[in-house]
Amino acid sequence: MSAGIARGRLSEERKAWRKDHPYGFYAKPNSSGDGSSNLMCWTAGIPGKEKTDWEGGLYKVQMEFSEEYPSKPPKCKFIPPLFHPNVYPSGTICLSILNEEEDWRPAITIKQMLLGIQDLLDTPNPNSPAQSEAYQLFVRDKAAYKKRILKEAQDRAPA
Amino acid sequence: MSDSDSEEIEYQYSDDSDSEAEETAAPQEDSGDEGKEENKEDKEKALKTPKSKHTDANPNAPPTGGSRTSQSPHSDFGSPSCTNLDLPRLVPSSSLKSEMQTILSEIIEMLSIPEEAAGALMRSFKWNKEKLIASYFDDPERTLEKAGVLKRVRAIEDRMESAPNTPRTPKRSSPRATTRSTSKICPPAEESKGEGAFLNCKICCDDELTLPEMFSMPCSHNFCTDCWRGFLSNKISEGPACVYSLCPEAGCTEIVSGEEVKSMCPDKMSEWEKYELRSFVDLNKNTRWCPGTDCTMVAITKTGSGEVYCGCGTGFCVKCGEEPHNPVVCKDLSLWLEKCQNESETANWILANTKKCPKCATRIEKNQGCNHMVCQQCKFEFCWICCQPWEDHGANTGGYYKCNKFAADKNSDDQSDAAKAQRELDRYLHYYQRYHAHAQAQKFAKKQLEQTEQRMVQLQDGNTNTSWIDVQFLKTATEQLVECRRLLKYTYTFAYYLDPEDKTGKKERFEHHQEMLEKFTENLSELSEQSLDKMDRTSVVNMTRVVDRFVKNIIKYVEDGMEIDD
Repeated sequence: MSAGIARGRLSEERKAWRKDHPYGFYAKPNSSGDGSSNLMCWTAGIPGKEKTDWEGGLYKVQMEFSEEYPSKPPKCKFIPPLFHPNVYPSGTICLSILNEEEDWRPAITIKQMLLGIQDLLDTPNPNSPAQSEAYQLFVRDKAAYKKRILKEAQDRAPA
Repeated sequence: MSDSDSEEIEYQYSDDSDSEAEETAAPQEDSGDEGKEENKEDKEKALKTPKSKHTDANPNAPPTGGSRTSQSPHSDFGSPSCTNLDLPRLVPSSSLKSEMQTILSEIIEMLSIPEEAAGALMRSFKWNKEKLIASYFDDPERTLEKAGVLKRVRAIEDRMESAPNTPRTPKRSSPRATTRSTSKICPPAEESKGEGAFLNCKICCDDELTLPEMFSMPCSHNFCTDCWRGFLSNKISEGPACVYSLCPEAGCTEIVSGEEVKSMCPDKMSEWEKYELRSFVDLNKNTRWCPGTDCTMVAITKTGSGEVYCGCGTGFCVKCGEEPHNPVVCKDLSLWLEKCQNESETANWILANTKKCPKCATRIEKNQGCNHMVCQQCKFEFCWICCQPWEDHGANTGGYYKCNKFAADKNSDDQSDAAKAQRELDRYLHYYQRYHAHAQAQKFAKKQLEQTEQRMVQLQDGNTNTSWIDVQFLKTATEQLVECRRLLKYTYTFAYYLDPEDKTGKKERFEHHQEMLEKFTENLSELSEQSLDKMDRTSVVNMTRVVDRFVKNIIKYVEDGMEIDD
C-alpha cells in the first residue's frame, strides 16, 4: 500500500465491476471535461431493496476517493441529500464501514460499500442520528416516516 | 512477583543521602509542646562537628529531590527495610518493558498462549488480569475472539497438535471443536493455490503475485508484502491507536501484533513498542505517568491507589492524577473541583485577590504566606481569613484560631428555598474562601522555596562560623510550609463534605485539629519569612517540628475514622 496505489486499485475496481456487479446497481468514474474519466470520483446508483419501502427508487451516490485510498475510505454522499436518519444534511452517509475510525478496511471493495449502503436504507441506526428531521420522525411517528419513505422512492424512481 | 518489587523503591532524600541513617534513627516522640523542643535542639548542636556530614534537617519534613513514594505522607517511609509491596513504585520508562513482560509471562504460562496474543488480550481487559482470567475460564472462545487473537492462539495449538511428539500443555477445560467457526462477516481465506499459480492482492489488486510475495496473519487473509508494509506503517504513523489495528480484510476481527510489524516493518518496531508500552500505562489502572512536565517516570502500584512524589518535584495521586489530596477522597475532590469551577464566578466576585483593610479600607494585596496582616497605612493587625483583629487570635487571649469553623446564620429557621439556597452558598463560600486562601499561600510558599537557596547563601555569608549544613533548616521549614498549606487546603474540602449536622463530635474534633495546624502553620510562616538579620534558627527548627506533629495528627485522625484518640 505504498503511495500512489489509489489509481491502480480504482482501475482494477472498475474492471472487476464491469465483469460482475449486483443487479440494478451502477457505478462508474465521472467523466472529466475532455472526455477522459476521473478515476478519483465515481457516481453510483443504488436500488432500494425489494419488499422494503425503498423499493422502486434508484438512489444516486457520489464517491470521492483521496490519494490515501485504500488506507482511507472514500467520502460517500447521496445526491441530492437523502431523507434518512443516518444521512447528514449535506448528503454524507454515516456508516461504520465507511468510517476510518470504525470498520473501514483497505480490502473493502466498491461493491461491498454499495451493498452496505443499500442495507442501511431500510435498517437505520437510531443510535447515530445524522439529521434531525428523519431521525425525529423515525423515532416518534413510524407511520408518517413510512409515508415519507414511500414518497422518496417514488420521487427517485428511474425515468 | 519477587522481592525485586521493593528494590526499585528509591529512598533518596534531599541532597544528602548520608542523612538516611539519622532519619531512621531520629526519635519521633516529640510532643506538641514547644518547650520540650529545647532538648532536641541541644542534641542536634552536640551532633554538629565540622566533620559531620549530617544535616540538621527535620527527619519528618517532606523531602525534596530524589524519588520517594509513600501510601500517605505519614507512613514510615524513612525505613528502607519496609517490605510493604503495596507501596507505589516509581520506575523510569526504560524499565516499563520488563514490567510489562513480567505480567505477560504470568498470562502466557497460565493460559499457554503465544506472547503476542497475551499482549492483545491484556489490552482488551485494560490489564486487569483477574477479569481476563475470569472471562477466559467462562468462555475462552469468546474471550479470544473479542480480543482479536482467536486465530493466533488456535494456529499455535494446531501446530502443536500436528507434531505428535511435542508434549501438550495441560488440556483446556472446554472442548474447542464445538464452537470453532469462521467469523460470519469475514470471508473464508482463499484456498492456497498450487505453486506456480498467480495470486491476487485485494488491496492493490495486483494479480500476478507469487506465494513468497504474499503475507498473512494467522487468519490467513493474504495480501502482498508491499501492501502490508504500507498498511502497517500507515497505522503506526497515525499514533497510539495503532495497537488496535485489525486485519485489512473486511469484517475480520484478528488483531495486528508486534509479530507482523517485526516481519513486515522492522524499522517501525521501536515505534510500535513505544505505543504498546504507552497503552500499557494508559489503560492500566494500577499505573500512572508522572504528570510533571516532560517527566517520563511511571508510578506502578498493586492497588491503583497511593500518593507518589517524583524526583522531578511533582507529587500526584495514582488514582486520579491530581496533586496528593489527603484527607479528601478522589471522588469528593473531583466533586469539589467541579463545584469550584461552576461557582467560580460567584466566588471570584466575593473574593478578589485583594482585601480592604478592615480599619482604614486601604486595598491590601497579600503577596506572602502568613495570614497575620499588618496594614502599612494604619498599622492595624488583622487576620486575612476573617478580617478580625489579630489580637483575638493568639493563645494568650484565649481566643485561638476561630476562623476555620463555619457558623450558620442565626436565622436558620427560615425554610424557604431561597433562604436554604443562600445558606448553602454561604456554607460553600466559607469553605471555598479558606481553601482558596491556602491554595494561594501554597503558591507563595512554593515561590518562597525557590528563593530559599539564595536566602541560605546570604544567611551563611552573613556569619563566618556558619556552615551550609547550618542553614539547611530554612529549606526544611519552607518545605514543611508548602506541605502544610497543601494539607490545610484539602482539609477545607474535606470539612465541606462532612455532615454539617454532625452531632457525634467528629466534625468538631476535626476542626480542632485543623485549627491547631492552622495556628502553627501561621507561626511557621511568619518565622520563616523573617528578614535574615532577625532569623531565629532555634525557633524555626522547633516550629517546623511542632507543625510536623500536627500534620501527622490530623492525617492519623482521619485515617482512624475520626474516633477519639486512645
